[in-house]
Amino acid sequence: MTSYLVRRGAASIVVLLLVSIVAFLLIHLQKGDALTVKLRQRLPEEQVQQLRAEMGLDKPLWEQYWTWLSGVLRGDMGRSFFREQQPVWDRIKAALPVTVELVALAIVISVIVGVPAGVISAVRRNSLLDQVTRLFSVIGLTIPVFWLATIVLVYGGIWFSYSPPLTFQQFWESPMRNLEAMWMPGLILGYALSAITMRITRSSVLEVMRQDYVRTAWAKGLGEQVVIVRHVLANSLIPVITVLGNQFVYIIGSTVIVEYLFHLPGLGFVAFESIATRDYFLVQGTVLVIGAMVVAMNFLVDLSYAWLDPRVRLAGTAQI
Amino acid sequence: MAERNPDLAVPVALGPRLAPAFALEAWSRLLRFLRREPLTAACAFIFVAIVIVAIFAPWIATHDPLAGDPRARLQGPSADHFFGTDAIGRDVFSRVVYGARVSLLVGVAATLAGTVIGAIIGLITGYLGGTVDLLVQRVMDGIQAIPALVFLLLVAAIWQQGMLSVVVVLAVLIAPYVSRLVRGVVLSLREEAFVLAAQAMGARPLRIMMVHILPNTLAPVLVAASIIAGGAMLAEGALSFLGLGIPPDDPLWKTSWGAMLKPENLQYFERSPYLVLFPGAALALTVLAVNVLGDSARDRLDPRLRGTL
Repeated sequence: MTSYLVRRGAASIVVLLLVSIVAFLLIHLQKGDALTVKLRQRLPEEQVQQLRAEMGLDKPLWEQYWTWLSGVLRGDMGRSFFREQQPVWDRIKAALPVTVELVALAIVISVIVGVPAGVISAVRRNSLLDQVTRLFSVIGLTIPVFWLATIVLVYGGIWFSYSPPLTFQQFWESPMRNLEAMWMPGLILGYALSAITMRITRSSVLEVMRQDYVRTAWAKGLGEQVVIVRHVLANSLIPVITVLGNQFVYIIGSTVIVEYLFHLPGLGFVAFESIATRDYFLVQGTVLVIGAMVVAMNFLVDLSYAWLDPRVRLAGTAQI
Repeated sequence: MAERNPDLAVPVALGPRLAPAFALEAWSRLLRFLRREPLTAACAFIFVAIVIVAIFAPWIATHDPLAGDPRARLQGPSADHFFGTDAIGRDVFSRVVYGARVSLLVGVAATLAGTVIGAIIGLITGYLGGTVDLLVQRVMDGIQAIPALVFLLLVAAIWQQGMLSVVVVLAVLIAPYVSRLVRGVVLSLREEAFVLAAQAMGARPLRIMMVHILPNTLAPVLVAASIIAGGAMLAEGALSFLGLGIPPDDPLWKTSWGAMLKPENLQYFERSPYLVLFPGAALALTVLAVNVLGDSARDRLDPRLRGTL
């Protein structure tokens, strides 16, 4: 068990290192560096060179990478090229809670809606209720998030005079104001995610319901509720957790769209804006933090296997 | 358990020597298919229709998709403009028709390229194992730890935006997914008796991989391909929506469904809200059709799963 966790942990660190390299290379391979974006006005060549040297952009790539990485390890992610050279970490620190809250909302909604819907749909297989839930799920799986969000903004505005608040406040500053901005984007992401959760729950429950021990439970004369909740549901949750873990990276990606459309100052929005302006350190920092969240989530999913499934927990040094 | 589905033979039955009795048989099979799986049948119809629209776009479009008519801006649907006109007076119907080309081409090209690359990587690393496998796996983890949309944004900014860069980047993102899938199948096959027998007879690794292992990975890859293609179309839409995919006035490809919904146009959407409906519905329907057909293919290839998903 311990060695399994240590191995997964070591792999996670290697993956994070790779993420940092990918983020660094991709943004540095772009034509034109931050200076060409920053200096819309023409400057004498020598002045540009001097600025470049100040920002460390004239050094070889590997040296720039090393300077950045060693800074990150010391807790210094560098400074933004814009906004009075605000430290990158300050920017990320302000954006992180927004994205975390949004993703948490989406996951909570998807579990509250998707798991019961999936169970009911499986238990009452082929009933009208099952058909309706499956249709709901199929639509959720195929509707583009950016289209759904645009429809909400346009038709919500026309029919219900809905419009997202223009100013944003963190949850701890003003919970009501915060939720006013967050509930709709959370619902949109939550719908997309609950469609997947429902589908996987349904197929997993159907699979478990075929098992011998479930037949035994019925044969013992246990009530439907006991069989479904204690015997079936408990054993069908592992695939659901795996899929939720895998979908985490997709939901983080979708936050770029909803944060952009609903004016939420989250990580997705920062990523979008900083890539457009080639704010190197901000891009690298944001992508690294997003990557760290994904890697941490994968690690948690691995942990949850060990916790939920005694076969993994007791396997000791099983090869995985 | 589920019985073998006789409907599988529908396309096969339409051979060149179509005897009358045979035709009748095929016809009744088709009817049974329509009755039993109306959703699949509807999606097959939608998919074929979209493919036809994409191929014959220049003949189906009623107007030039790029030429705006300043006298006809933001008009509602009419006999002249089926889906109305956009903010600079371009015919939305013709633009939606051309958008089908972009979506289908991105879906097919990115899926094909990504699947081939991923399958090769998965085959080699799964069969050889060892350090190479470990190293490649971590690189794949690294690529997958960055959300696809963020990755796309990063790369789309490197190259000039356009069809080629969208397809290449999507292929890079698809490859790790497929390689993982293929690797899993290869790992389970590596210890099978027929592989061990081939090894004992002295077959070289390349031959074992190509002749004995590759064919067995086809079914799961084919099934995954429909989901992947749907995802690729959605990703292209999102990228064009954010202004980094196919531009709304591309001289060659004309436009993408995602680009028609660009948020810069929100003020126009509020004045003529139907502008939002058609491109998005076209994309959603296409993805829906592809996914449902993929599900149906999976049920046929693996009857055990029928009705569980």
